[in-house]
Amino acid sequence: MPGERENLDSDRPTKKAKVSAAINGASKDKDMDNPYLAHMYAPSIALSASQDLFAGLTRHQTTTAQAQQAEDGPLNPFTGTQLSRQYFDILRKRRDLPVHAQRDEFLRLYQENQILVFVGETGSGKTTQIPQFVLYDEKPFETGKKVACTQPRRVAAMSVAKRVADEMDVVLGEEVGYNIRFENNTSSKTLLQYMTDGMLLREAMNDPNLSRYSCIILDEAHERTLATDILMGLLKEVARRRPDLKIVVMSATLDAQKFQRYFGVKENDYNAPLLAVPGRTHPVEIFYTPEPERDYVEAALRTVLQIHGSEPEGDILLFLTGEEEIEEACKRLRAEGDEMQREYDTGPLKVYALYGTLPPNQQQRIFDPAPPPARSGGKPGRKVVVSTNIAETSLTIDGIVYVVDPGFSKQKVYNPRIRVESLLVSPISKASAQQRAGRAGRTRPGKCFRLYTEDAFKKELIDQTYPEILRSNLASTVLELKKLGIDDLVHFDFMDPPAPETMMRALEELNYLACLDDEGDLTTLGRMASEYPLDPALAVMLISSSEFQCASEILSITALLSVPQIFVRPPHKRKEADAAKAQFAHSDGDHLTMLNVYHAFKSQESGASQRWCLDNFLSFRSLTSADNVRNQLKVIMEKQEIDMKTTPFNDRNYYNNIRQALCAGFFMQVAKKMSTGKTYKTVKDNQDVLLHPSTVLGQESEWVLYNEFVLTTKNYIRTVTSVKPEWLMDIAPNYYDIDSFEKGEIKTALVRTAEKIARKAKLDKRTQK
Amino acid sequence: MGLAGPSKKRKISHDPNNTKWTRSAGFGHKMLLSQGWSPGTILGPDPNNPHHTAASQVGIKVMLKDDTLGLGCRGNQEDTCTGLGDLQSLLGRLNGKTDESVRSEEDTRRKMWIEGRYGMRFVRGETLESTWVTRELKKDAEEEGKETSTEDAEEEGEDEAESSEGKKEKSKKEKKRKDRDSKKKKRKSSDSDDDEDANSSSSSEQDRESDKAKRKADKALRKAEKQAKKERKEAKRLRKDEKRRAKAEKKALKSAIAASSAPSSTASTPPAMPSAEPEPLPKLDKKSKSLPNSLHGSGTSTPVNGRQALRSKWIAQKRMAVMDAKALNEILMIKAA
Repeated sequence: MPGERENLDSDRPTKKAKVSAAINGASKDKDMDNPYLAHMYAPSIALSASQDLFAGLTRHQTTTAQAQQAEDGPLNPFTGTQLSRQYFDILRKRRDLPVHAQRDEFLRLYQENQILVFVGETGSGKTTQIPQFVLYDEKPFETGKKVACTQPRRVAAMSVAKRVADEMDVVLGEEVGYNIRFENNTSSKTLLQYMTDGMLLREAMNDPNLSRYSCIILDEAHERTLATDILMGLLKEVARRRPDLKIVVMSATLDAQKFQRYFGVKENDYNAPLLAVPGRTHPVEIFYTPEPERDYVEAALRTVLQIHGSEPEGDILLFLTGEEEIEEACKRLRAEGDEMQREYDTGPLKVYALYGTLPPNQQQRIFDPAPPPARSGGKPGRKVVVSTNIAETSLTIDGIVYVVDPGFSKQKVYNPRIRVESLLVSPISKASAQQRAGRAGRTRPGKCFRLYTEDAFKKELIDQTYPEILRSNLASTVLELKKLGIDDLVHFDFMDPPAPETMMRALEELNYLACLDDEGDLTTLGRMASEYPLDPALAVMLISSSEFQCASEILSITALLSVPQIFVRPPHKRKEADAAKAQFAHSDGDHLTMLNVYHAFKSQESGASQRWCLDNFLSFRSLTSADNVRNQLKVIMEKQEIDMKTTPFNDRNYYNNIRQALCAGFFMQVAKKMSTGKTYKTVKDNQDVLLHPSTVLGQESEWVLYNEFVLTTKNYIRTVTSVKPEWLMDIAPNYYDIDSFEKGEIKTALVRTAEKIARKAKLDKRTQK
Repeated sequence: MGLAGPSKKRKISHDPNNTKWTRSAGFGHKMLLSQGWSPGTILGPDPNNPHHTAASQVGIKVMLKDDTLGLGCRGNQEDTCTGLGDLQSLLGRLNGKTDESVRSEEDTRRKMWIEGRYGMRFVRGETLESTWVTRELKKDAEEEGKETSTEDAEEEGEDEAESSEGKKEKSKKEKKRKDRDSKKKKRKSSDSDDDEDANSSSSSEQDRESDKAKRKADKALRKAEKQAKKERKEAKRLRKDEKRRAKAEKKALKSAIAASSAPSSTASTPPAMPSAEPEPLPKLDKKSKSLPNSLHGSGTSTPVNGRQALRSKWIAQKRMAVMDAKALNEILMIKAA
């Protein structure tokens, strides 16, 4: 099937020209503008370090003794300034860390090998210390090449960078910095850079050899995020091309053999060298329930309160599955905690929520110390953190002594057959359960309360959590790989290869979206789409929005779709919330309703918008982050010189244009109403679905486009907008090729539409004559 | 789910797994084939890597969860009986198990739980040491579970002597099992002696004493057996003694019911008797010489005539049934408590 999407715009030649002009313009001085390539033009790292302090140290030949001498000061070897007292305090503690005992061994293995697998248990100090060990050996100010350390999560990258900056007695953002999506806190002086794995992957797209770096440390590799997995495959190839690049893969679990084998040479049966450092953890007693719990949330809350009432001082970490559940649990815990304090004179209970979509400054609040006793001599206060599995590995909260583990987490699953990616609550793995328990033993011996039986632990939990690459839609990954120059997807060295069906689906989707041509090569559109940190469908929608003269609106909608739900619907105020939503409702669907909300939000005075959101049952947090995302995306669009001109609001095609632009990205997510009732059927995949009750759309719409397929006992489509079949056939003729449809209601309707279009064309011709 | 339960109706579409797409070889299929993939194999250069999971071939299968049932909890839990341990102990008591043995059973069970105001109960599992250094999990979780935690002691405190002894036990947990066994014996025997010397002696003294007691017990046992044999012979020959024996049996029953030490489950089953619990006998022996006789009468079929024979057989059967947990479960249709 022909895949080029440009050619379907044949009836709009002017617009097409505009797009291609934009592309040419973008590619011309792209390199100069590209932040990822800035190093090619900028002078190499400014040398503020006085090299005398490193006298006698030869790169890749340093020893622990030499490095320690440099560390001991009195001048900071990296800045040449006097070291502070705080530095020496921390230094003393650093020398106590388990990794320090094996610094010699690490340096030897590091200097002898290109790739090193490092297994350090939690509490070993690997995340903060190993990059510094590397720094003293790499001497980046000599080579002008940096050391990078990747983290799977933004918060971790930020907080670790902050810690390491303190340890090295430098200002965060200068010698030590971090680079996360939407926030780059590095400078030309930066020697050590913490970053998310996704950011490094994005850099690799523009700089395939990662020539800015002399050493790359992949931390928390055991978490096996999508980006880490791709990076690992990529780094294996880069290592072959660049013998001077050193790679350290750090992991916390015991399946190090898998990493060793992966980074070894298969033919020679050679495994990558391994260095293992024990962690300094305290014993954690594990408790199981004697019987399965009927309600794990209820049981979790009771357990927390019971601990608060009867156990000695120490903070509690409770794992729950999602934002809603966590917020609800926090509310109940706060109420119960207050009551306990009044009635039974327990210490004050401070409850914090923690989940990924929480803004970073609120995430930082969990590090606040536990509250003091309510009165002098009273019982000490206690901190409870209710978290998703974000607190399982990366985030370490000091003072946690009790862990409550119901055994569930929300995990992403992708079904390539019906093309549904959903977050489902499912049992965790044994490895996860042990990680969670380990969180209790960071500061002193702790206890872990598992809300399931020991039998369930042994029989119902899988050994290891599946890596993300097996659980995701790979469309954007394949696009990234293509952009990275990897064409042979079959033989790309995945640590865990994704299921062939998933790969097929991804390729097929990209072909329909015209990001890949029929030979499987990246098209111009595909290259542009890969610049966006978005799902390809959204990126394509954004790029083609200028054809429909609604780029600004589509940009807003894209931003709104990539943040958490903007409508708030508290359980006890459902009616009011629905009424508030009705004010913004647009009869054509939810996308346009969201746009109305955004416009109203932007028209508020900046001081009053938070109050306004509260009054209108909107999430201020989501809307502000949508605003932020919008700005980021706008920068990319402007760089690609996409025409931001929009249709005037009073134009009667204002909303129609937007709806058509939506079709350009989401023509594969369309459902048609069945004649038999209120059910809809998804086009091509033939799944029976219902409109989600939250929609503002009435039941009369024949064809709807949806953003999300929600998998529950009933299949719902959420965030829907009504569209016209004529548009779909016009915008995506390859997908809506009538011959490819099975006999049935949808095909009949499409045939009828085609006839209608033909008749109209004939009529137009006649009138023209 | 019974008729009264909410019915969950769910419409399943014609092809819920979209096998139509799987069968049709689309663009993706063609692309993979052109790059050297063959259907049925997995991607990647190292298809035989033992570290790969089945998910690399067929994807991940997940069950949909839309409730808050805990892990391992099946929806139809109403149908199965759990937690009937209490009922079992009640039945045990009704059927002649002594309060003492029932209580000790209950205690061990309760000690496994850490009970609190919010009613969450937990069983102690392994202790997570630093995983890298030692992966030794403590297998004998039960033994650990027996230890009384401090709050436990506070909450329970039913029997002071008991709990104090429990604490002692805790403090010396590393001591040999033998010691503990002998202490248990001691406890039991002391109960029968109206708590004469249950908790007065210090631990070391107790040990020495118990050793002594053991030796004594062994001796006494042999003696008792001899005596029992003799007596049985005598009984066979002399039917005159019926009166006396009836009296003895009455006494025995009374003692069984009234908590002055009685056969535990092992004691009642003849083959296990000498090795498992030899020591209650001598003490009893001291108290009532005829008791062993009656014990034998109930456990094995010593020829007894008439009404008496029937009655003792009946009692024996009943007792056997009550002692055997499995049989009891079958009778009461209890699924693993």
